[in-house]
Amino acid sequence: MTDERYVSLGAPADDEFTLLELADRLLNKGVVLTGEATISVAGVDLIYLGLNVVLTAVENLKHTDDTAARDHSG
Amino acid sequence: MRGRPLIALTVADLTAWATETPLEAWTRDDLLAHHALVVRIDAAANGCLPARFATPVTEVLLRERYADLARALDRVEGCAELAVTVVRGRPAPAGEASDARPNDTVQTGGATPPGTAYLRTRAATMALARRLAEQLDAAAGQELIEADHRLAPSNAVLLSSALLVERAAAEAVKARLPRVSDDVRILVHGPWPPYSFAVVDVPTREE
Repeated sequence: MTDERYVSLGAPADDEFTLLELADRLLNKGVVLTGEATISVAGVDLIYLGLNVVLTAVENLKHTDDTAARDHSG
Repeated sequence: MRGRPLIALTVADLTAWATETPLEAWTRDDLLAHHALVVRIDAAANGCLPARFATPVTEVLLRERYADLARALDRVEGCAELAVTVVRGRPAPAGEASDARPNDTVQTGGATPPGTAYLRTRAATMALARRLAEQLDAAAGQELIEADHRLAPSNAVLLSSALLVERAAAEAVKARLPRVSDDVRILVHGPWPPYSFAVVDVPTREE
């Protein structure tokens, strides 16, 4: 069912929902011109995730890509 | 973004605004800066097609996708979206399990209800979400162009919706939407540029 890591510790405050909805649109909606989008959160409904998780995913995505690239060439 | 100038890429009557940035970790501020730029461009033009955060763009891509982009822009030009989040009025007390209040079972921390009970609860939640979506559509009225409803996407959220309206009608529709209903609270955000309706098919690559 829901991955425990992605459950907010408490119910988000109302203004957190605004940011969640906006972040979800910025990361999952909007036009993409090429299949090689530089960012993706694997199509997971971001409204699932606590705000900190969403922002951490954004910040860590590039590190993940870098690590994968190193592993492949190693 | 990050103090770097906006670059205009133009093909025929379409202009894409982009920032040249080196690849590095993105932050929350970048997300908000992107949104702020989209809002400004949307206000300056008669509307725009918001691009996904950090999506790359080149003149070549613009030229290749021109027809799709022009069509997508026609669809949302002059329009805005309202975002709606419907949440439960109050969280269920921990440990409470009641047949009369199926929502509470979903809310209980940790414990997974038996299979059949879960499905029944889930069905009730989905039915509630569907009713709320219909309620929103009705309240938005004739000025609602299109709606995209996500039913019960998480334990905390009963309904997450995007409503496409003409920009001039956005505030009026926003005021018209209910803020409470039975045991739920209805949060309305925006008007925003029409992210949820900016759709262009991404070409699939044969591997």
